[in-house]
Amino acid sequence: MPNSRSDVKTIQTALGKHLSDIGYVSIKLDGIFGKETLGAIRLYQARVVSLADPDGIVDPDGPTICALNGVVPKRSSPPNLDSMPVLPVNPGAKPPSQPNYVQQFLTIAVPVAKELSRKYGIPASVILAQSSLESRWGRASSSYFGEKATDPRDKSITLLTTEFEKGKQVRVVANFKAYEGYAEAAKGFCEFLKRNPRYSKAFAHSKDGLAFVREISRAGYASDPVYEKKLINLIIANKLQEYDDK
Amino acid sequence: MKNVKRIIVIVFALAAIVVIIHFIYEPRNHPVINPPASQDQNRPSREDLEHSILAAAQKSVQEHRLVALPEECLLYSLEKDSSAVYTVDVYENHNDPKCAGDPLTTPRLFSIEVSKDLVAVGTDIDSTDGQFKPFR
Repeated sequence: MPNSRSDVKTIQTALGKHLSDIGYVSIKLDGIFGKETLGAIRLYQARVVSLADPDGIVDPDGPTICALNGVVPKRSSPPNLDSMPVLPVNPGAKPPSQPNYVQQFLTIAVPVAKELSRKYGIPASVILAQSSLESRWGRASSSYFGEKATDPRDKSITLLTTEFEKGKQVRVVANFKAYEGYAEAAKGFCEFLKRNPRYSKAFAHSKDGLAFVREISRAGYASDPVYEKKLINLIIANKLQEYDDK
Repeated sequence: MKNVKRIIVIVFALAAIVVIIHFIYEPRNHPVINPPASQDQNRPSREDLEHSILAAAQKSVQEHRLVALPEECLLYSLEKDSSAVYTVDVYENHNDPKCAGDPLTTPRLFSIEVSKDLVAVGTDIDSTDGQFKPFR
């Protein structure tokens, strides 16, 4: 079935809002699905949607239209290692325009992460990515890292959480280690990884943040199959590797 | 004549007694207007509200198939300082023997935003800058 002009125009208009993502200055809003529109969609699919095979097809419920409209796509199955795209590493790309809270977080966290990286052999990008994911860029009230408080002598934050058991809500108390500020928390995280034999293999990659992330994920820091890709995408999208020692 | 006066006095006395009895035992047949229920009475308790917020978040996790882990391996926590929307953080639960993962960690996976009318409206699951996107 041929594309309707109004559908094509809708896509062209949506692409027009993402010109900087695809390196275009302008795009014709003529409703004609020509080479320019196809090329723009493919570029968008490659650079933003991270499709392995950018085909220029925009399905009504597919990932391309969801990305263009800025919504979370309805999934037919939970995300897994194969389905979740990994962002392409693009060293020449411009740094992303980051929200203020990201910039504020990095202003505090980068010097700390770089110093701890040299001391503990953990890439700064890993410290930064882990803490930004765990703490929603410093905005969550629980902790900067998902480290539990197990020793009664530990200072801790108690969080009342809920588990769903066959539809019923059951209260579960979660104790996180409490620290005075980011520097102390990041130091605690580094010491935790260093003394826990589970993560020892990761230290073979002290200058490679992405490889380090893969190792700690495989060692069970988290059991979500896409946790590793989330951290990797966070590092790539925010260019956190630039803070790693070369 | 005296008798007439006595009768009049008795009649007046009886009438006074009737009036007094009427005021004392007045039947309450006029409509009773209850004061309007205060807003506090209509408002759900904090516990009920939290229950509904968490239920909305959990429903969205299932409906949108946000994670491949079994239900018992997830923990939900409502942020204390929710303003325009409620924010529910979703963590991995490594306490349950059925769940994998380092028992010394409780990683946050993503968060769900729940509107004030208790509908899950967005998540930061695929976000690399912490921004929430609405559900389709």
